[in-house]
Amino acid sequence: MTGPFDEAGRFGPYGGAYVPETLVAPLEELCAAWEEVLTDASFGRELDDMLSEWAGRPTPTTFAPRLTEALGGAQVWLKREDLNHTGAHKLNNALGQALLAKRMGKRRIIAETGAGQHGVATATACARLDLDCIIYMGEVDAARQALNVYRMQLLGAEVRTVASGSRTLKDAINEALRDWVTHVDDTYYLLGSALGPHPYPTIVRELQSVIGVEARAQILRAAGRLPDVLVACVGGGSNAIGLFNAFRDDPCRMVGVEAGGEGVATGKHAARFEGGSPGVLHGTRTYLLQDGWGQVLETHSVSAGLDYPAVGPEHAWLQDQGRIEFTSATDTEALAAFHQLSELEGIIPALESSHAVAWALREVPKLPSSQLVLVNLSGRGDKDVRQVAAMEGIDLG
Amino acid sequence: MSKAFVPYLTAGYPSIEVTRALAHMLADEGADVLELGVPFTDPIADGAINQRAGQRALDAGVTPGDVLQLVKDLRADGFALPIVLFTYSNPLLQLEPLGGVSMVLVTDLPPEEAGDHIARCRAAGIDTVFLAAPTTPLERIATIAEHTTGFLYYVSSKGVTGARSELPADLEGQIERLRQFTDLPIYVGFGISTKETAARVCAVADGYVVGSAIGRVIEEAVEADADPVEAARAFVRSIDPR
Repeated sequence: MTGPFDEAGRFGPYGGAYVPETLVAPLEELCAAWEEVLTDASFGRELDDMLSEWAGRPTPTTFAPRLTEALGGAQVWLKREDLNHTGAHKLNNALGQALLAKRMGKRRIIAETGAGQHGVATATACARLDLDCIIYMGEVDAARQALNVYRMQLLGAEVRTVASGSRTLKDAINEALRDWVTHVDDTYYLLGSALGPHPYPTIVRELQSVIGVEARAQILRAAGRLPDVLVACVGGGSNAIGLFNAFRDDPCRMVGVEAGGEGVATGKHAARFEGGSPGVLHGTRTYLLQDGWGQVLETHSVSAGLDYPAVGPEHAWLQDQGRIEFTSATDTEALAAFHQLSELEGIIPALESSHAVAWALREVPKLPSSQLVLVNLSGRGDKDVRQVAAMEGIDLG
Repeated sequence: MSKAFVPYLTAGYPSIEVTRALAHMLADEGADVLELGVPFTDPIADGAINQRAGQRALDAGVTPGDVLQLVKDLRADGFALPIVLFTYSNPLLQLEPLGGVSMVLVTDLPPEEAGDHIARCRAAGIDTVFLAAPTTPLERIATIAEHTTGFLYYVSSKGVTGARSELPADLEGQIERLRQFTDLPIYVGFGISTKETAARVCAVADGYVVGSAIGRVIEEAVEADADPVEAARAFVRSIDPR
């Protein structure tokens, strides 16, 4: 019998299901439903058809010639999740889970969102599948991502802003969990990243693995070989695990880039590996930013999608094992990358993805030209244009 | 067997000193067990009243260590009731030793994840209270009953902590279901705010837990510049069905 306390939900000492008793039964139900669709070919077909006919997959893997020339080191390739419908990788997971919810007979969908990308993806999937949708979003995030709030409303979702705690992503998750525990019978909690209690980290990884599966085949076809380095930004870690999963047994370096904020030394950041320690938050045991009493610390990042105090539990385990190297990029580095990719490649990256690009700007010049670096461009930056302009003192009215 | 009154206080709201006075008042008013909530930044199982109280305590600089010191001070005062530390998994990881604490209840720690916690409490002679909920399937009740000591906490309703106007229709059936698995007292909490709901709980269970309803009275007294201890005293008298 499958369940939230299965070994499958543990990543070494991380993961598990640290939840109020009321949520144990709904997690058991979710485990069983997930196991059922994994063996049901019609589910995979329905998802694949929608991903290709409606969401626009596969997304390309693009060589970045001008960036490569400017950096003068390894060749840079980009996995173009910015070209996925709704402008980010988030839809891969939202659509898959919305289909799962529909099969489970749950018509009321709730989700949290930070930057708004997961909220928009969930609202989009719910519109297409005729499901009710409520999105929880911290007040701070709703203010800096006002465009995405309106997008969700256009798509028919109700956006509930959260005024407690730090008023960012972690508080939106708190509120979504409170909603779920109150409405377990008819409600599906559509969690947006590879975190939370089992089975969410596994479900999200599997639904995002399409990124790496496509990218691996594409780069083998285009470049004739595997990349030497894979790079992705890491908030909860869904785009990173989605890319890395298909390369797990390949001899590729994997680099996760966390939000360095104003610099890890200033304390204003979201670099959980450099500045955090193991603990329990939102149902899972993982690395998190906390004080000596186990109180969760507020984070800082220019990017709302990386502004979260914990990291997915599988990342914690892969870090401990040395399989993924984690590092960070500061707000300043991310903004520089935002501009440089826009000017050199004609691609405006999301501020989240700009952290992965920032790693490339910093490290690629040190790598030999024989090497291939594949950067996961997890989302596009249209949503961030107004914020960046404001930070640079440009009044867009 | 007489029925137990189990009040809950968010430790440190409005201050550690007032919590200490509230604890003594509750003992004077016939409380049988005291639950002390450890303020935590991310209380996913708590409703608005307990969230606010915890956040204000944190804003005032209260730490889990201060809560443990409060327990020691209460014991030094001669406070004799069992004290239940009501906490979340993450602050609990940093707390030890738990001197003066009689029982620990962790809202986000099902028995399947609680191996280390149970071993530590057994070694220290501290009871481990686990919760059953309306959604708990029959086969899990045995697991919960096996690991809970002190008492079994039944969560009356689906949802977070907080006063409700009524309790679910099947409350009595749910309690009877639990009785097959345990001889321990069963206390019912979440949503009890009136003499009527407390009486209904006492008719079938062994005690009633009141948290947010007391928290609301304390909050209102603080905001009105009134004495929270006397306000809470009047309230707990008014809802005591015994």
